[in-house]
This record gives sequence, structure tokens and C-alpha cells, in this order.
Amino acid sequence: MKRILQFAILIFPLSFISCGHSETADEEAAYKVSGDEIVQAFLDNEQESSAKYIDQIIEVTGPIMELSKENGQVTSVMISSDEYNIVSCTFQHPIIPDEISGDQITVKGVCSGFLGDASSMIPGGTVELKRSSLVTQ
Amino acid sequence: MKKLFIALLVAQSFVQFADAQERYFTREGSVSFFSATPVENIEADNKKLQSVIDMSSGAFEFAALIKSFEFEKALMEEHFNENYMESNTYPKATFRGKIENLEELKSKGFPSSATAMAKGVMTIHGVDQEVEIPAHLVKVSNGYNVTCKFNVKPQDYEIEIPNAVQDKIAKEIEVTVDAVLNPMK
Repeated sequence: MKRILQFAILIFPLSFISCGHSETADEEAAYKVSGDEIVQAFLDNEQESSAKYIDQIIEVTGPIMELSKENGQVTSVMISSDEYNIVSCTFQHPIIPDEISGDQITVKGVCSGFLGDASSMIPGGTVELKRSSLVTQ
Repeated sequence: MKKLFIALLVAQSFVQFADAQERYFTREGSVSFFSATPVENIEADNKKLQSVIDMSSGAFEFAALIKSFEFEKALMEEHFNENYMESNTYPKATFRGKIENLEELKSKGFPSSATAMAKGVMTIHGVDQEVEIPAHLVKVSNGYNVTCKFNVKPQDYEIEIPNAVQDKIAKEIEVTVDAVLNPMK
């Protein structure tokens, strides 16, 4: 019994360390917002929005501005109704282009923060989502 | 008076347009790092590096969110953000400065063999360091491709590595950047 316990104590942390990330597609979104809404929230109050959204799974809906592809599959999408205020989402697993139809898209992903600074040369503001998955209605 | 006002507006718009044309920009650059030790290799990628280069003055800026670095292992990513980079307090890394030898590169037509000297302030973990990084700046079909590889010492940026894991994290971390910048609209 003691040996089994020792073995379990040894194996548990090892299995934890080698763990990958959970599947975002299987997780519930903490917030459901439009692309414009979340960017505006960060522009209005970055500190408050960071505390609210970062590390949370956010479901974002909005117009597709740009799709990025690697080897014919979609690896990321930018959601925006204007040129410079954007939600930029990296997919956890590449998406087959046929899965995306129309001008609008809904994606959920882990919010990693906001890049946007009036004193910066970089224009506008970008909310970033990582390990995103496509939400089909 | 009205004609003068309109002429001034047109002139201002032209200057702004010309200025924008000289700026090149991306939101989808790649920055990755690699730590190699006999015990373990650690690597992470961030495909959301943002960058602007003003090709008239040589001024540039690169910025990346620390939490947008993705690791294969969830626990490594968590430790990186919470224990080492303290990403909630210092959410981004930036490099702002100027290409020192831009005129020379322009005169040569930006050949792949030439080295652009990027000099400026790199801010990581809230610590500013003056650095000079050799990079390649090559003209491509609709913009410029920036590539570079350089080493960062965690201790230079006051990133504390606990004794228990010191043999797992390299003293110098190799950073690789690859970004294609297109004209800013």
C-alpha cells in the first residue's frame, strides 16, 4: 500500500507537467460579446477590462476582416468593422476554409490581453485571443 | 480666404498620405524563443507580433503580448506567465528605436546580404535596456521582411529564476523574429 502511494505521489506531478492545454471548444465562454464591444471596453478602461477578460474564455462575434492561412487551412482570423480596432484570434487547431461562410464569424478563445497605446507608433488597438475555436450556431 | 483654407487642407491630407505611405506595418509577425539546456529544451511562439517601421526616418516599434506566447505544455505556460514574466503586471514586451544605417540600406536596394542595425530600447518585464540588434531587412513584393535572431539574458531584465529550476532554463534565451510589413493604409 505504501509503495502504491509512493508511486502515485511520483506519477501525479509528472503526468500534470506533461499535460497539454484543454480544448477551448469544450469549454463554456465566460463572456459573449461583439468584436467592437470588447475593443471599445479596453479602449475605455484597459485596467478594468484586463481584470475582467484576460485569461477568460471569451466568445466574440463580428465581421471577418482577414483570414490567415497556412498550408491551405485557416490558422487565425481578425474580427473588425474598421481598419485599426481589431480582435485577433489564433485557432487552437487549423480550420478548413469551407467551415467558414459569410461575412460574420463567432469565435471563442482565451483572452491574452490588449495592445494599444496612444503614444505608440502602432495604430489602433488589438484584443488578442489564443487557442480559439470556431463557434457554429 | 476660403480657397486658402481648402488648399491648406489638401496640402495637409497629402502630407499625411505621404507619411502613411512611408510606414510599413504588421499585426501578424512571428516571435519565438528557445531555451536549451542538457535537462530540457523549452520553446514558445507568438504569431501576433506587431510592428511599424517608418522608412523615411528609420524609426521602428515592435510590441508583443507576453500572454500570447503559446507553449506545448499548459503548466510551462502558466509558470512562464505567473512566476517568471509576471505577465499581469508587465503584460507586453516592446522594442522601440531607429535603424541606424537606413540610408546605406536604401542605396544598396535592401539586399538580403546586408545587415540593418536596429538600435533602441527593449522593454521586458518592465525593465528598459538599450540594445543594438543586427537584423535583415529585405524588400519583398509589397513591403519588407524583417528577420533577426538575438539572445536575451533573463537577469538583464530582472527575471528571477528559482534555484530549483535553474538547470532547466538557459542563461541566455534565443529569440527569433520574422515579420513581413506591408504599407500602412
